[in-house]
Amino acid sequence: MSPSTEAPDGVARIEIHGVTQTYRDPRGVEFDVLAGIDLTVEPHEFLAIVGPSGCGKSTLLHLIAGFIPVTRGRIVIGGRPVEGPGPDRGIVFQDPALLPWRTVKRNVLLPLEERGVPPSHREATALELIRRVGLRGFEDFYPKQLSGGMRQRVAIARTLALDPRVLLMDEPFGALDAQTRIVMQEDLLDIWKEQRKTVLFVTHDVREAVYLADRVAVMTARPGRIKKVVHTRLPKGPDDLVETAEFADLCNDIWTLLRDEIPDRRSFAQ
Amino acid sequence: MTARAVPILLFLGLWEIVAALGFAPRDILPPVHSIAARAVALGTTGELGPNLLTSLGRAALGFVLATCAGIVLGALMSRSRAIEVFVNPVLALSYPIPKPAFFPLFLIWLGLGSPTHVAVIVTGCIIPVVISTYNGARRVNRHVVWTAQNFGMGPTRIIWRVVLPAALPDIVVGIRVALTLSFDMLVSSEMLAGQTGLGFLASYLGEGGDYEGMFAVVLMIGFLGFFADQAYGALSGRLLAPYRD
Repeated sequence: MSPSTEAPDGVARIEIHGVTQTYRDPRGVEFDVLAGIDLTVEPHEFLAIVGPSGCGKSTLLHLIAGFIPVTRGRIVIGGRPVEGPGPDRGIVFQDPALLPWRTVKRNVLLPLEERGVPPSHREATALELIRRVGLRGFEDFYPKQLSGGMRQRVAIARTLALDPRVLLMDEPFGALDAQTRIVMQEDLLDIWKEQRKTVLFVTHDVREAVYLADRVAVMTARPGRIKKVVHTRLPKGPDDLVETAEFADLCNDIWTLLRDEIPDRRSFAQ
Repeated sequence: MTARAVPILLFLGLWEIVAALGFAPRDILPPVHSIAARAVALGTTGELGPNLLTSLGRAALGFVLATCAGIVLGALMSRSRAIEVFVNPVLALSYPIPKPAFFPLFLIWLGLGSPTHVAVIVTGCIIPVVISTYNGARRVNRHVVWTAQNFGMGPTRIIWRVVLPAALPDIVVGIRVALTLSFDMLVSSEMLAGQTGLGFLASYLGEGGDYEGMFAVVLMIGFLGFFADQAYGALSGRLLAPYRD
């Protein structure tokens, strides 16, 4: 394994080489969802993908996670080609996908049990992660007793319990209300600054992408391609960041790139 | 539980009054108090006890076998297209057939006795369990299964640790149907042939003209089913509490 694909702390690089994903419609006609995606996320980098609905950005994440096989091209995590799902890649979906019969603590314990962490270490690790996502005191609550934002916090804690080499996030805050979303973004950024895991974050929210990411990849409408990758990490603290003109300009630039790809708008203009 | 007992007591009271008014001959509609007295007598003569135990054993064994086999089969169907394609039509074909119709067949294979009765019970009870497990397992959120794969769990482990627990609210309903059905199948089967069990006892007493005794056994079967269902309802309610929003 070459040292450039993996940092000394095990945080890995994500390499996507010429990935094209083809599906068949019900009549058997093939169509491309993704067309020739080339993208690299460096170790410790936070990269966001924005794109119009149906552009295949979630599909790309599912390919990296190994849930579905790649039609053409190659995906490499820390020097190792993806051949299926595995705990080196942690994923958070838009829905928390928690196990309703397990309490918060036992949901976070599950990946620790599966990874074979010694029982004596599991409990302390789970409690620390629950505390880290701000849910101390809710250890013995069932998911149904929590708000949407809190459930998503459990999902994040559970994924961190895997101690993955990269984090894949598929519109994790997409179903939350605007206020909860802002708080979750701030907290995610705090956690990321501590652990500096490689993050690939899919969203349709340009502001969220600019706020969180070092770089933002803009995708085209289906079949999805990378239209442009924009550097966004601004040298300011997160709290005053959103007020700056620089932030607004970046959002505007990315929105301009994205706007032409919104299918409804294109058909309306014709 | 107590609230559910009230309509039953009212029904029995009404029965007692109608019987006392003498519209129908005592043989055809015996009053409840004499049925109860006959039940006690059947108990003391030793006619009831052994038959009751035999029947409960058959019902319990058939119900447990059907539940276990039904859950495994339903889970396999939800995970394997080949199994699903094979089992579904067979299930659809056997669904409308009254299960006691299989009795002569089981009689040839297994002989007269408990194995044949248990086989009838399993044949009847397995269907609701398979269907509910299959439907519940198929409905499990794709992201939940993916998350389990993400943790490195294999297919069998995912079924036991994730898919079946996630499908529990559906499975519980199928098992409840199977529980009530197990009494139905038991008595139907025992009435067809044999010398033991509550079904045999009820038909034996009826044929001998002991209608009070027959009513006593039939009502007892009803109460057994009722209490089993109530206990199951209470247990499953506690089990499903975390699932309910």
